[in-house]
Amino acid sequence: MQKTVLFFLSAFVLLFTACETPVDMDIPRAETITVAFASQSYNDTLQVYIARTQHIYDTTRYRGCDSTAEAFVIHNGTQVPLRYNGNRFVAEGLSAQPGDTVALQVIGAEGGHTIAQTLIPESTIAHSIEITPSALLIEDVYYSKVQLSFDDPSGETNYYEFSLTVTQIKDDSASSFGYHYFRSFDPIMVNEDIMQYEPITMLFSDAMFNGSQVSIPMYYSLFFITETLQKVIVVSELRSVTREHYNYFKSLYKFMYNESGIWSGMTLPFSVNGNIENGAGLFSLFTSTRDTVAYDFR
Amino acid sequence: MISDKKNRYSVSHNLILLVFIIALLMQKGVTGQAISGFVSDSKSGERLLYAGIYLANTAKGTSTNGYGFFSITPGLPQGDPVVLVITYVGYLSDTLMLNNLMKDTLVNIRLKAGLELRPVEIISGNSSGGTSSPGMHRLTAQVIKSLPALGGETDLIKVYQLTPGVQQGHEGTSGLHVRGGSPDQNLIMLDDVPLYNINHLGGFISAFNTDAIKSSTLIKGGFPARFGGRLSSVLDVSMADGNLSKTSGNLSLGIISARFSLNGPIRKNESSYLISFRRFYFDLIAKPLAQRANSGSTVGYNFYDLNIKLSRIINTNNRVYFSLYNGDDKTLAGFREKTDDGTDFYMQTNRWGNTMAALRWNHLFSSRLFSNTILHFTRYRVNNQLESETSNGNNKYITENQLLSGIGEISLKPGTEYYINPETRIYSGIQLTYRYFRPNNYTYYVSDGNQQFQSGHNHKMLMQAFEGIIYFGGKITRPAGHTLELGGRINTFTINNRFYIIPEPRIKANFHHNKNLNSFVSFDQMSQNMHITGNNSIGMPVEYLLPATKSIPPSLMKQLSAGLEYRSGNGIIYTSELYYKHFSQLAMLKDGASLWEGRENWEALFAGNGKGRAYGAEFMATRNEGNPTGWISYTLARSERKFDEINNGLIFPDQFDVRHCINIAMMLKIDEDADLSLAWVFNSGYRLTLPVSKYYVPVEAGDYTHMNEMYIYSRRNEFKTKPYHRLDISFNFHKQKKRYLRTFTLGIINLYNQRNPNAFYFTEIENFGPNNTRYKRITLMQRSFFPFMSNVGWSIRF
Repeated sequence: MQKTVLFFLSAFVLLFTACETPVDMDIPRAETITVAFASQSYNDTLQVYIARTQHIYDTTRYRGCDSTAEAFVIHNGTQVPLRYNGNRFVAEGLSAQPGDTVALQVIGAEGGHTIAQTLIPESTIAHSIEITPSALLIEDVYYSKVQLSFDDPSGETNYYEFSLTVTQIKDDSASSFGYHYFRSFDPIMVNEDIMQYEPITMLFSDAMFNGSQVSIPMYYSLFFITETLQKVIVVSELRSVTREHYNYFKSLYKFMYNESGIWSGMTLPFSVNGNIENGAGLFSLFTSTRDTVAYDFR
Repeated sequence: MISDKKNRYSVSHNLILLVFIIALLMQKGVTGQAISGFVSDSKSGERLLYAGIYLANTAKGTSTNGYGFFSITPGLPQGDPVVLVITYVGYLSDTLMLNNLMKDTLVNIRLKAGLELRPVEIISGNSSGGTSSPGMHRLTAQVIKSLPALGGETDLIKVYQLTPGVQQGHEGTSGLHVRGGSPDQNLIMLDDVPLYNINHLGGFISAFNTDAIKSSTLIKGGFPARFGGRLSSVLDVSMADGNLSKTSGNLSLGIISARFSLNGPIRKNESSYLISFRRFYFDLIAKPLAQRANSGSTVGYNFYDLNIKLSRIINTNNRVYFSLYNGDDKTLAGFREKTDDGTDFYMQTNRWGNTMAALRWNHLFSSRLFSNTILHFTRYRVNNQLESETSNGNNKYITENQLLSGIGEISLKPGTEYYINPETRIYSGIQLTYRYFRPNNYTYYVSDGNQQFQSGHNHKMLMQAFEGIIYFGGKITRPAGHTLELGGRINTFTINNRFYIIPEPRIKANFHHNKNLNSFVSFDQMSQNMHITGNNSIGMPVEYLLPATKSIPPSLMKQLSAGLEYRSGNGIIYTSELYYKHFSQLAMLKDGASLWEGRENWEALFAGNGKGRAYGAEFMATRNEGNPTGWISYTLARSERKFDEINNGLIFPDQFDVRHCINIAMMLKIDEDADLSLAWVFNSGYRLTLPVSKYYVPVEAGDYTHMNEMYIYSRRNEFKTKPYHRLDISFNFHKQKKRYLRTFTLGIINLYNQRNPNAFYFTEIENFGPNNTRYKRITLMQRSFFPFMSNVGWSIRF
């Protein structure tokens, strides 16, 4: 009987054994384009990451910022050069305000221009946040309930990003909690189609509540109480972001969810939407309000 | 509503059709008696579809329709004997002489199967050797069963993939890409009832159990007016009715599945039944093995198909049929294990499948007026469930997650055919359909075992649509043998207070130049009221069936085709056909869009207003007589698409834009007890999109930042895979026992072990260079299924 079973199983395994062979596919060298990335609060010192694309067959990993690039920001007609500080390109003395337009210009090695532009959103409406620790246990993970409330201004569509940063203090040492992410069952969040990607920040628009006062429940794998835990500091940040920022990070989530695809063969081609003309990446400034809550377990 | 400009064009077309129909009706009815009736198998009583009938004296002819009925008016002087000759492939011809025909006469003609059963027959066009029809291939169950099959499981779709103008899609799948169309553009019907997603086993096998099938027809062009609802093809599959005289059946065992069928009379020569069942049985082996490896574990996959048909002859003018099909795929994986404190349980179950039921009534109003009325229900659904339970002392946490997606419809379709005279026939009918769509219903909840302390997000979407169709047409045959068929459909579709009315004219003309040479030309306009999205190419149940709406209207297609057919003296039929198709109002998911977890405004995920075109030339040489029999075909084709929101609005090739395709199918009778069949396919490769560049950007993950690798892709479908080719071979050994015929099948799939790609991926390979230096190289890899594989089957027929 066992032999018969093994025979059929072998026959079946043979039937569906996959074979993997290399393919000699000539992928022409595509034009190298500029990559630029900056996504930060408008009133922090502007720091821009600038690099170049590589051929897909290039085995070199991350090469770092391209220090040879020449870049400027343009604000109110004034051109401010960006200086490379060994890690990023920074612009000092930029005094942009909500409602202003700031442009980024990068001159490539071949002389080509890459341009991006961002309109700083108006100031974020103040928000309140209630945190209920350990409100939910799902698959051995404790989630704290986070209730975010704020007033949405009426008019054009507004885009938001909500984040939480957790610092745990254990036995007089500060340490981070590690990987944590949001869950939500609220229609506003579910409609954004990013829950399945275990988002570390919540991106949403006011399409379902434009001009209203809104209170959105979420769950966050915040922290769990242990014997050594002394204090937890939670910093919540509600950002008003641009539509380009919203589109970029939503598509980034989907991309990261599928990124193993080119290494596994199970993904459809998908590029991340940026706002860099003749290039890739994102240039975006946002406004935000922060709220800090501390939990003392001593 | 379609725009005014299009309406004016369509109204003028409809006026032309109306004038044509009136002209047909005004045809002088021949003052003569009509001979009508049915042609059936002498032993089983099965109706023979599209059998040829002609008058020996005059060489006028006709054929039985899709239900085995014919009507012919000799128009001879009174007193002259009437001699009818009846032919059907695989059967001995018969003649019927009627003297002194004084009134309309109903006859039932029974043909005997040929003494030497030809093992295979493939018919392009009508079977009788008369005029041909463009763009159509008809297969009998004999042909399907004789060709090599995966795991011994013969498959109807796999055989049609060997015909010109049809691409298979990815390796081993059941996709039908017909003349540049996609799999969702095929209307697949079983006994006149649509089925959705006919794929088992990831698309390796279709839902059609060949034991239950009588015949099938694939129509690629020159669509009869009674067919519509999809853009690219119609696959019309007829179930066998059941033997009216004696009980018969068969039992088959293959590597992966088993089939059993039984049919016979309920009341001899009056009513019959057919029941046929097939099951995939890998789970019967895998499940106990998984439990043995890890007690508490469960893993399995199975599918089954159940076909039931009942037929009853009420009287000479009335016959009723009941058809039932139920098929399901099921995968499950999970475990249950006891821990120190309690129990952990996890189970994921995925089910998908079709159910259909139909009641059909054939009625003869007179010897010239035949009607067929069908009432049917059909439903396809996907049900994915995930359950988990963790208990820890007195604490229990239960989660349930369910995704439900599906489509269903109830439809009433009465239709008539009126034979005015031997040269003229008109037909008409209506189709009234209520259809519902549940594209993506999602529920999720968490419970502590006593109550739900967190209500999950429940997303339920139900869309209801109503479709009303009128079709009509007429066919005139001239004495020289030329035929002209004009017809059309008026397709009305209502959903969410949105009303569409779409005319679909159909024109087909055959020219009979001489006894060996025919030519034909046809024009079709088709519309499709639903969109099917998802990864069609690998046949997994990730498809969503969505209705056309205000923002994604019905898709349209216009096709012009023309061709020649030449019948040589040595029994070979040569056909060639040219076609040009234009698609409009196509819809597909935008890059990166996903329908997972439900979404209120799902229409925003679609890129609409897409256009496309496909054109090509098909050549085929078929040998139906002698030994061996079979066919060779070659297709030269091109297919492209254009969407404003995809590929930057530039035209791009369709994924299965295969330039050259060659198919060879051969069936050789070795001796009385053995035959050999082989199938060789070649195509020049399909299209794919690859990443061409990469870059890195910083991504925040809480309080740290990592550099994420990102890709820039080529233009859509810019690259082409290497040519695909494969040779399958199969031997059948028959032995007539006392009470049954035993057949043993031994074959090899992919005889020369060609590695054809199913998927592509990148990998890093470490190599050694000069002086033993190590270097890494990124390489594109392909994954292939189906290496050299044996194919074994055993069956008995009694």
